[in-house]
Amino acid sequence: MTHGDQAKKNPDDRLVTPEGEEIDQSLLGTVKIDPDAYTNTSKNPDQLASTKYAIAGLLYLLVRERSIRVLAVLTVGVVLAGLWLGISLMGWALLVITLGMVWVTECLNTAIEAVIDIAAPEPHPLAKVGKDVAASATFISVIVFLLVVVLLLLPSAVRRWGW
Amino acid sequence: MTTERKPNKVVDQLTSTMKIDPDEYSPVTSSNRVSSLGYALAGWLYMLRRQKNTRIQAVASVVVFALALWLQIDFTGLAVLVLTITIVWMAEFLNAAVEAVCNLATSDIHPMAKVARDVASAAVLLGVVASVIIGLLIMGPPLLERLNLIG
Repeated sequence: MTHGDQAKKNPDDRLVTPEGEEIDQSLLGTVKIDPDAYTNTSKNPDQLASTKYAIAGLLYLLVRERSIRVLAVLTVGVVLAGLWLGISLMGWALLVITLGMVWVTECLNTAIEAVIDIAAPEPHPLAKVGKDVAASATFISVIVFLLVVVLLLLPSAVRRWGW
Repeated sequence: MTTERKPNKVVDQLTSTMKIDPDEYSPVTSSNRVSSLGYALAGWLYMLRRQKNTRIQAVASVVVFALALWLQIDFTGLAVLVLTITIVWMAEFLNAAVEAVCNLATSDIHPMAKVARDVASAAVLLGVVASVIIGLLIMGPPLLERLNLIG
């Protein structure tokens, strides 16, 4: 064993930072940590500013990530197919939630990739784990999305063409 | 033909990640399931205490659920609503986790930190947009009906 043993871990399971600050591990310990004490960005941005950042992030995704553009085309295609085939309100609700899930995982995957690139400019095994596992989250959500689309649209398509 | 296994590039690529042992690189070794649940609760309390958005979201979730019960939405509708609310919560929590990791990775200003934060908050925005659409789809028609009956 390598890193695990060298790490600063006391025998009685206490967590102490290199600066000597002890981390409270009780249920209420996390609440005591003030995130603003560790951030360099503006503290408590208002709702409008938060929304602006979110839209800036979306624009970044659409310009820089090819998979997001594919997803955007897919989204439009599925919505058009849904309109044409005429699915129920509940069907629409399910379609929107699945689409939302795919978009959310895709965004978080890109965000995690960016953080990993900051944390590890050099190749690192855990960077590979982080990126691969985040990518498998998007993979799973896309498979579920395709399943839901088939389940929702196939019955209407069959009814329309009467196979 | 040789008895040795031919090196297969695809198989090697696919199995390379699972050969990495995360415990080798972590200062904290992952402990039992009970304490994992404890960490999850601690994270939840942290979010409620430190993030104003999460408190607003908690109130909104309760209001939406109460409204759905009042409108007597059927079980399928309730299931979809609960799923929707959960996705927004998950996006919000993962966004906070990404922000924490950002601050951990660098205390300097870094362009990729901006990308990570903005893109993670885009996930929350998309989750909220999706949940508003679903709320209207599921609760809109019964709500209009109910209001007409009263008005």
